[in-house]
Amino acid sequence: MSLTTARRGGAEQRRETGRLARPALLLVLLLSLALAVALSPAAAAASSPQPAQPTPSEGIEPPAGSGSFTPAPTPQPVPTSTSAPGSGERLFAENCAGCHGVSGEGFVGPPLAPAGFASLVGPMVVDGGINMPGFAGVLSDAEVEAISTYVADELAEPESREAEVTAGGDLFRLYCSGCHSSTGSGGAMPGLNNAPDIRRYPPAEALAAMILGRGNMPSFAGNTFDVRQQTSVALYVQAIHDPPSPGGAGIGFLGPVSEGAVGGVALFLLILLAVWLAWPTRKAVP
Amino acid sequence: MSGDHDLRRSLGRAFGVRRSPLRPAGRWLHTNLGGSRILREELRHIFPDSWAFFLGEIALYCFIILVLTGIFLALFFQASEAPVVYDGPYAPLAGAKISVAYDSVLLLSLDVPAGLLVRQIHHWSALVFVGALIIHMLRTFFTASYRRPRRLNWLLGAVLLILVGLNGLFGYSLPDDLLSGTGLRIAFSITESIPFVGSAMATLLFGGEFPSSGLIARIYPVHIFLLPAAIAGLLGAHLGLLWLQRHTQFPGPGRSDRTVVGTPLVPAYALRTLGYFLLVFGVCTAFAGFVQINPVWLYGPYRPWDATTAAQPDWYMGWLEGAVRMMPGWDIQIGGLHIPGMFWPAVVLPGLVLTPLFVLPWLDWIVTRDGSFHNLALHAGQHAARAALGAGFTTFLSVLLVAGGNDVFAFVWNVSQPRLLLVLQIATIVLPPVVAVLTYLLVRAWERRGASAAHRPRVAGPHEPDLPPAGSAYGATGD
Repeated sequence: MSLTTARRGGAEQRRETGRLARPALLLVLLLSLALAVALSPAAAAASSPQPAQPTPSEGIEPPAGSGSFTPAPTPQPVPTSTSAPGSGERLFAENCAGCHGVSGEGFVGPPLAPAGFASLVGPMVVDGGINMPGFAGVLSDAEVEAISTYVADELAEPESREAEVTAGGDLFRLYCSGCHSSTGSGGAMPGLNNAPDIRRYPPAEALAAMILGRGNMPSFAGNTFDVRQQTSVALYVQAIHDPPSPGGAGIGFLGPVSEGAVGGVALFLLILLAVWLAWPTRKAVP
Repeated sequence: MSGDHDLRRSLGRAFGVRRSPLRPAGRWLHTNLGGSRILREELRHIFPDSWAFFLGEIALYCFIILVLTGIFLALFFQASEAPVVYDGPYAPLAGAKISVAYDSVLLLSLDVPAGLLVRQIHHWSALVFVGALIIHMLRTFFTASYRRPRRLNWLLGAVLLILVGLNGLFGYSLPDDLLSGTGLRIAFSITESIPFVGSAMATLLFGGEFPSSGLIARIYPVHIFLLPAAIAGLLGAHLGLLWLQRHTQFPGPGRSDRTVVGTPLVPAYALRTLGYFLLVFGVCTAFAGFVQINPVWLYGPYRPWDATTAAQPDWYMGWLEGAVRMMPGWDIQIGGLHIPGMFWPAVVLPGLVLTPLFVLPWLDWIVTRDGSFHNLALHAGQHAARAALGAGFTTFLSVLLVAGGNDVFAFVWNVSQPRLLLVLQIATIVLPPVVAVLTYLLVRAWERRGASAAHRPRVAGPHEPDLPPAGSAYGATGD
């Protein structure tokens, strides 16, 4: 009556035996897959939720001895007379306090309390800002570092940094991601002037580009971003400079296009496995 | 009772033991439900052997994986756009005002043990799912397996493809991150572009002008209940028909429209397909473990005024995105009727592309006048015209798909984006016919070579199986 019965006892019977090798291989394959996944980054991320703490980029040396953004002791704004000449405190008072205030409270220049400024201080001092002159010829590297350390340790309020980064993220998605993408991976522009992957640049350079403009990119200083906003955006750029990737390989952070390509690889792999499973066994029992 | 005896013998043979451990179970089934004869036959259901017949199984197993992982995700996801202040572990968003939905996805991804892994399995298997559906459909097309008696099943498959694609789009829209909101914005514009009914439809579906509040709460039940239920039902019907009609097979020794050669369900095929299920699960899990997908924390929350480059849909919607990107803006105003440019690439084109899928078996019948039963699949190179059409159609959609990612490709290959777009626009028009003609010529050449080889007798007499008497299930030729 049906096709099954028609062929029962026929050729298909030969297929039933001699197949132990394949299930055994299958089992080995599955076990190794399971083991691999158990050891994979995503599984690790799950078992110990490691918060995506942005790491200071290689572009900017965290001020030596500052421990990056460890909470500083109560700010001691007034320089004490006991400080050694040439110390950060002294150098700050001599070179910076005129614009930024004796305790970094801000005057002509922006306040330095947001701790983020601390990480940007070194490059800013060397290269200068919009109205701020560069101190490259005036201060030695050691002196710049001393100032950075002083700002980070004594003036910065680390707890304000998070808020700065978050605000910077909002501004980044409003003004920057339209060209540079929300992951900062960059994007195509008309002509060959592509918006570059911002993670290729140290945040201080990103800050300089934002302030001065570069190539097709307009200057965002003045009417668009005030000084504090510039800093926030630079801090956000720093935070995503080495984007946290708890789920495994980032595949370029290019979004669904690269994900689709990798999905195609997965499908191709499955088809190969199907070819293997359906491969005719040579051993036929008559 | 001979039925009982047959069952026992059949089970015993199936498991290679004289006294089957299943014997009491079989006896119980027979004495309480009867039908052991049916059971005996169905346990020996024959599945033809070919790797190409696993493609649909990939899709089936992806669906099962999606349901299993989706249940886990549903334990944590909250479909609400109510504002909340983020206080989770992802520092760059600390203190940001985000939606409850986005917050719950961040919690799921960065706080819940194994949450990110499960979410990534869900997403990767969704990408593989649609790919498997399309490859499965292409296989069915190129081997002409959609012909009678499987016309209805082809139709079910076409409906399934649409539903699965839609549900993927809805799933992509739920996390309320920058990309999902951008996608919904485009979906709203597409709906609105339909003449006469567009704005009313958009208001009805989206609950008001975009961005409407409560949109995610609307999509959520559709994504986790309505469409999955519909897909499960249609999938059941699809498999039921497959079981009743049996699978097509490629021609070969002993195989005919009336005779299936292959592997019986119990034990070989059942074990093999179970193993394949585990492989599909394993591959999806491995990719989820090692490759990050949709890092929503990096994309940031959706706000209507934010925009990002590399804003693509998941790949299976890429052809639509590409059509929208390549289409010149035909904004038409006739009297009071305004047809926005979006209408042509995003409504008319999908209609033109998808309609043939639904009428294909009948189109085939109109052209070939072949309405008879076919249980033998053709080899892809056996019909030049069909192969040419399929190749042209696939090329067209592939060019659209590439165009959907044109900014990313221009960036990665470091070429000019407008120039790449122009090249793709030309390719959309030129490449499909070229590929179709080339395919036609190649298949014809292959056919001619194959025809001369076919004159030599291949496996002869002894391998010829005993044919059942005429009048078996598919003995009659139709029409």
